[in-house]
Amino acid sequence: MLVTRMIRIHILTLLLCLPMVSLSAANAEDTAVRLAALGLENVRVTEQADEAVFAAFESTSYRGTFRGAAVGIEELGRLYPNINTFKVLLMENQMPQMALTATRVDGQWRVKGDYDYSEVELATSNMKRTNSSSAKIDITAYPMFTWMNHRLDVLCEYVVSLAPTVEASLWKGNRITLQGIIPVSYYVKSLKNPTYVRIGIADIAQDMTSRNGKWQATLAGGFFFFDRLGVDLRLAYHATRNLTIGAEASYTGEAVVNDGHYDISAPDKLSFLGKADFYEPYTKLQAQLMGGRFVYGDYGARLDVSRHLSDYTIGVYGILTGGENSAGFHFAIPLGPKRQMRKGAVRVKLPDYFDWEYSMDPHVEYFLEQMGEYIETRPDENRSAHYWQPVHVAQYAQRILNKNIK
Amino acid sequence: MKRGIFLLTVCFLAGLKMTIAAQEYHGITGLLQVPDAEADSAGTFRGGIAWVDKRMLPDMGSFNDGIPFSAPCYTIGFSVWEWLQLSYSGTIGKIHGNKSSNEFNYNQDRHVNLKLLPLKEGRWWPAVAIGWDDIGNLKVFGVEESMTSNNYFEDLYVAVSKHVDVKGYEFGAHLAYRYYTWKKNKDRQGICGGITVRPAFYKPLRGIVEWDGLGVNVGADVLLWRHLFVQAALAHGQGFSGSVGYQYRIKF
Repeated sequence: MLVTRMIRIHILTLLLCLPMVSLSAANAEDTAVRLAALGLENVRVTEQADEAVFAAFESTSYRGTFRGAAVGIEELGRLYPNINTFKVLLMENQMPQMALTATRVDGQWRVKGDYDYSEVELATSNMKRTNSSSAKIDITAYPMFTWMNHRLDVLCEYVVSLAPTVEASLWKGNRITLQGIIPVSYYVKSLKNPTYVRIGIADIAQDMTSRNGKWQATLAGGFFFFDRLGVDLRLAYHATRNLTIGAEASYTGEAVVNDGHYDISAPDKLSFLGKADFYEPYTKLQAQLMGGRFVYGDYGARLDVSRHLSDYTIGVYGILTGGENSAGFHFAIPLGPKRQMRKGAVRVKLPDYFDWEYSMDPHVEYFLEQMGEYIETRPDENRSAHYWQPVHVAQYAQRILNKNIK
Repeated sequence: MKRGIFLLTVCFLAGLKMTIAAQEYHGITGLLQVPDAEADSAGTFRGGIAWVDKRMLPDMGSFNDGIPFSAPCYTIGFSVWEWLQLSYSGTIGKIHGNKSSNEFNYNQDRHVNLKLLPLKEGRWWPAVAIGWDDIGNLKVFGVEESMTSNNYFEDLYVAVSKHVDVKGYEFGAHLAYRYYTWKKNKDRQGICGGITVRPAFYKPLRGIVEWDGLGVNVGADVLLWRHLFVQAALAHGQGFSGSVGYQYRIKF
């Protein structure tokens, strides 16, 4: 009798559990498909005992770092009306960048971000990946505008170029960029180089990160901005959610077009810079300090202070290097639409942002000796794109979720 | 000759947040040639081109061989916060690049402006602004006898503004004191100010009468379709100035 009762209990327990197991599995897969339909890639979803939903995805179809996150969280909230906690891992080039925790109370969202994504990654690591981004190619035509107004004999010099760029990621953390620069219109008296078709950025890069997200590193090799060829290594340590300390070292040679042919020199210039980056959420200010040896051998330091206004970033900077000083301003403004879906293997898209920097160059030596120069390894290296700062991303994801901004 | 100059114009708008108008060749909020204490909503961008009559421009040194001239200008400005505005402006004129030659070429004087508003307008007190036009070297005081840099537009100012509403018409009274760092601009130094009026039937329109230290300027401006800014003025009853610009406010 006892054995029979125990068997009945076990069978009853099994029968009660089966619907929960099969319902959860179907929901998670179905949810991943629904998220993929919104343009999110590398989607993995799982649930934790009706208390929280864990999801990992990449928002390549959405401009910026926070908009795709908000879209994903909102959809998760809609698909799981009885769950109020959602933990999301955000990725770029299949590499984890940060985690968001979104909680819903009385219809209002509260979002917090952190570099430590280990919990979400562990929860989702064994789940099936939906809508892989591997080997998908983006073709983007970046406009480039160079404007110089420092000469005494002409009002200004300018070069307007088009830079078609092919970008792809083949494996986790990988990034391949191939860019050509085609001058479209120009008036330049002193420089020949800007008037030739030439290579912009042509490099391969690999991102690496520690398990808890505290350490990040990027190694790149190839052609960089501006007219450099070599290798570049960047390290970053996220000391707190607001403060990141890092360093960059590059070893490059010159790759310049002269009279229609390339003059390439072996790497001979070593640059190393220490960096600190701090984000203050109330004022939405980002302060960046870097100092060390710039590309062309001058020693100095530069301070940038920028304000983030949703997708827009406007800032000013001052630099003291090689005994000279300069200052200027820069901005990054949205150029393409908020969403550009990637439905096949190849996507032709508009650039997400237009960024520009104006430098005073008050001293001739500063300009002629190319002081204060540093390496750029990607065509959209600005303070809006790829700004994976968890406090900033959480702040604006929350504003979108609560309909404060679109 | 100015190299690229980075000038921050800080402007803080207190009180009434109507459509905000700009000093045409500075890219910051103000009257025609005279500064005021109005600011703008944070995240507002403005950019434009202007034709500025010579009576509104300061002495510009070797430009045009020292002879006053009317000039085209361009400007971009941004309100980082309600209390902080920055702008970058350029004034185009003729100059002898090669002094031994009689040939001239066109060049530009670039300057950066900063406007800060520490006090917002209240019911009983005015808004207060502090500004620095054409930020150059930090030696502001005492640069009188000779031009050691090319900060032609450089001045420091304090401005106050107070608005009253009378049957839907918004009247504004504006008063400022300007200190010019270059001796040749000292005749404009001192008290300046103006009166503005926005009609009840069309708030984006603004009428302006001002005293700029040398003469009276009369003008008007309007913000059309929330983005297109147009300003026109008669300088000292003789010269025409006008500008067209674009304004956009970021929603963040």
